[in-house]
Amino acid sequence: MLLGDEFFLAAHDDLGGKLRLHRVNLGLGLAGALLGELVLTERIAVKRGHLWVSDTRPPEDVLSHSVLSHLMNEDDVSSVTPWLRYLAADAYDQVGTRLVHSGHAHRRQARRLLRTVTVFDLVDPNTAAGPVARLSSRLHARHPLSLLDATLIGLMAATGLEKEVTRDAPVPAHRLIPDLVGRLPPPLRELVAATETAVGDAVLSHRR
Amino acid sequence: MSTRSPGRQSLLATTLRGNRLGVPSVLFFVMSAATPLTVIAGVVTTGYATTGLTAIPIAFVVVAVVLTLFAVGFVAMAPHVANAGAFYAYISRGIGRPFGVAGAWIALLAYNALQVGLYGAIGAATAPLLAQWFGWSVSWWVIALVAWALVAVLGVQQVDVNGKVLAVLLLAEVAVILVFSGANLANPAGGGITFDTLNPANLFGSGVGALLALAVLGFVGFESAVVFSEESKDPGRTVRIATYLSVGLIAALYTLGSWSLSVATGPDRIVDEARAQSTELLFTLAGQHLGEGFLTAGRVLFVTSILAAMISFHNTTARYAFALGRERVLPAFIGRASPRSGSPRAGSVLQSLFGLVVIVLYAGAGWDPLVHLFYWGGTSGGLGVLLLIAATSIAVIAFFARNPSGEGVWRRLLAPLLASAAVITIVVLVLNNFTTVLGVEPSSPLRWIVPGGYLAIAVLGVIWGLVLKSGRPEVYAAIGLGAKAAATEAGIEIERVEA
Repeated sequence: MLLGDEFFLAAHDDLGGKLRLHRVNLGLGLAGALLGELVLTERIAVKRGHLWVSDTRPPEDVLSHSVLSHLMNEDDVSSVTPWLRYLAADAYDQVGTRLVHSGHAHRRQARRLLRTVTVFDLVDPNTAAGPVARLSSRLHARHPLSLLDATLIGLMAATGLEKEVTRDAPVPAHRLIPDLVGRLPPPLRELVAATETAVGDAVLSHRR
Repeated sequence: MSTRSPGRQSLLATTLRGNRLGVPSVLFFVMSAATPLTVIAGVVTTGYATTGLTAIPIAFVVVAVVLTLFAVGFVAMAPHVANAGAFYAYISRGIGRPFGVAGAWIALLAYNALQVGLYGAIGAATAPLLAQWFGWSVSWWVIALVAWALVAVLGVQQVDVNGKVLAVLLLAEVAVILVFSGANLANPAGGGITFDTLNPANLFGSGVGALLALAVLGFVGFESAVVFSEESKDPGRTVRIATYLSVGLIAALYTLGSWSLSVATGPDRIVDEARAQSTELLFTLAGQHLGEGFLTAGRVLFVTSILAAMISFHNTTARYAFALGRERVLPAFIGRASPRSGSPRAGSVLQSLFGLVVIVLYAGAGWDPLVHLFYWGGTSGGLGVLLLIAATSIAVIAFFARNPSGEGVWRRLLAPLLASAAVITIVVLVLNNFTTVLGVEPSSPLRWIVPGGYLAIAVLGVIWGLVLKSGRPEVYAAIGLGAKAAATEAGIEIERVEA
């Protein structure tokens, strides 16, 4: 499963499928994950707060491909932060749609106070609980983490979700997370840091 | 890389610009945080009563001129500062990070004082309505606790009072102040309009510092337009114009409101009337001139005005604490937001706890809520903000001395120099007259306790900054930048190859 899908699942309660995250944090986390997919497939590079396309071959995944084309079409904006904020706006819908296509979710219109919103129901509770269960047990057993897993934990921490996976960890979260993030390759580390900063900025922003 | 047809609008730029604001929106944002009725009905009347001085209206004008001068360099520096709404970020950038930490702690103390002070006013504002409507007589602290609970619940959910609600309240408050002022001017004591309280000569008596301190209090929040530096249509121009306009409009409103009060009572009677009627003065006069309906409307708006100010100061304080926790200038847990609500929960809870302790303390000790909580809290908080403005004005000079940033000599040097000189003069005058500000005997230890408290916390802040510099350089480097720190060893491997 791709980084964005896993983050999407981790951001949902495995029991009721309720969101564990405020929509702002959710969007920014998913945006970080979408850019992370492109880093993991070595299509983009991230350095000193900027990103650029290093390999223009289209990625296999349709959404990943569309994000990459977007980055290529608008190469005048290279700062990571505006891209995170921009991708955050539609990320929930886009990653949710990708999960619908892969058969992991259903799309549904739900009534809220004064408006209708799109929500995604996850099909299989086991799949939904997968990422959190996998990360928890690997951390608990001190198993080595894949790059994807470590990035996922970093993004979860950036959005305030790390407690979901660090409860049984041998080291408390406030020591574990900085260490893990610190040992990510620089582009992913920067991406996680940029996501965390964007989440914090959103708390401070008057506009929510 | 791919080519792009020249005519096509950048989707990214368009989306991000979709939120961009013009002068009216920014102006409204700044003004609605001003809650003018709290200042006119609360601060001005208590100020007349406590200081015994009458030149409050002209003091608003003087302070407005000084703050406009200050704003020239302040707004110019804003785009170069990460957390542009916070004075400490400027101090950190311009003078040095240890002073930035000191500024941050002063700000936290000052905003807390301003917020809890309002709990002292809500009782006096609400009691007449409860008596009028239900015939109830309720202790101030009961009302304060109800307001406190409301603020605490909304704060932890990070519910801001809706912008439209604030805008309606603001317009209603401004309308009430204009109508009440008009009625006051139409019914002058002794039959003729007097201009004594507008005479600048009256400022140059003893106690000028007290008047200036009060006036500064009225402008707290004027600096908030700069938070839009990143997201307004034409950042430099929009923020600059909105800041000047808000200072000008606030000054006009407060000068008119406070002057018209003195016209209605007569300048020689304003202090005695304010002492006799306290926060009721504005409404008693309105009742005499305009009748019951306006009186009630004014009282209701006074209550909503204080509530809005409470919520706004609470949220500001909670976010401020969050920003400091995020930079590890305060303990890290304060810099954690609730994932589900996105609220700076720890900052909010701590501020609420502080408010509760203060209310209980004042209720238990039987201290006067209006003078000893609202007014002292307000003026002490105002002093803190004044100290921050003074430090920031110096920071602006220092910053542009190192990075001229293409600004002209007026914006980067002359205006900031004049502003610094003026603000520092005000600080000296205020400290000189601080017993008059508080309305206590010249021998009162409060004269030293309040400024001494700020000095102590500033010294501690500088020390903490230096401790960080030697012990945790990565945290030190991030002060005032909105970033965070990292890296300890916990011992879980990451495989270099994708699984």
